[in-house]
Amino acid sequence: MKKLTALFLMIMLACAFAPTYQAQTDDLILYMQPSGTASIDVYNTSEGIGNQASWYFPDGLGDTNSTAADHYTLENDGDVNVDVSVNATNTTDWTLNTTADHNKFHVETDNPDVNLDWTFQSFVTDLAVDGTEPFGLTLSMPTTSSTNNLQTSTITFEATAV
Amino acid sequence: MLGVSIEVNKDMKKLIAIIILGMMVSAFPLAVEADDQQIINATFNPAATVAIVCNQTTWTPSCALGGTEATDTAWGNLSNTGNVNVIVNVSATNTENWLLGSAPAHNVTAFNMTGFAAINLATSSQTWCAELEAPNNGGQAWEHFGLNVDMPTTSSTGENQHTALTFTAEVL
Repeated sequence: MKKLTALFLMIMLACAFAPTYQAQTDDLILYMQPSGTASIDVYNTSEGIGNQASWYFPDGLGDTNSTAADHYTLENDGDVNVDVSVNATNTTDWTLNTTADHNKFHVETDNPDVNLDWTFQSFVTDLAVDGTEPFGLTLSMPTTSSTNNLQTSTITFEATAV
Repeated sequence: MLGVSIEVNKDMKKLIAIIILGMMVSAFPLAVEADDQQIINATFNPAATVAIVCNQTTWTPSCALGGTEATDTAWGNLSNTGNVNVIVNVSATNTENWLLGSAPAHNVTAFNMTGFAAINLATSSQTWCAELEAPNNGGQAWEHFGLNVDMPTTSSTGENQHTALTFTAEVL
């Protein structure tokens, strides 16, 4: 009986000094962002993807001419949706302008319509992977020119992952 | 037996969590949003039209040998009527019996342009205007000129003589 009493006392003491365990949580947040590749291709629609798009304007000073509205195609060949913006450069002797004038030419995209400037402007937004955007170009040549040399302007499309 | 106890307090746990998180983030690096550019090269040929017009067609000075006659310095006007800036050259022909020269002499006449540019005319082409601007560009697309002739001191003939003054425009 004394042994039994002693055992009970030990159990009670053990309970009295039992270590306490507090429930504790820590959050581990895992950030995962897809390493998407923003990639586009611009090509002459009739020639298909992979061809370098170009334009040799057929007319002279004072003329305005347009390609077909689907002459070019912009395609999202990356693996992420993209926003695409566009700009153009001056030529060696002519300045990009809102209207044609002496030594000033005007270029705009057709469908969608964007009057091109040196700064990038939105051309198409949220273009899905494998999505395409047909478009054309319209050019107004300078009314007069200080030179008869060939001129070249570079139209640049820039894609940024959405 | 000696024992070593390491107490991992709450701050330490947070630090460990941050380290682990950093390792995990390294394992899944944040994507660099690669931009992509494509271009169209557009080439334009001005196919400019070069054209000039002189408002005078004939000058008939009546002057004796050894004499001089001149027009007003703004007698003539040459205009750029094309759509591109041009350089304008000028030349003249010898007459039927006289040569063009820098000073009058026997059978030699000195034929000069005045006004915008002073030029002693010769059969070879000389630059009269280095850049005559195209019209409608805000600049001046014309220049005035005059003519001056110094008759030969003596002549082998009394016949009328003719010379042709030619302006030639070229794209710069």
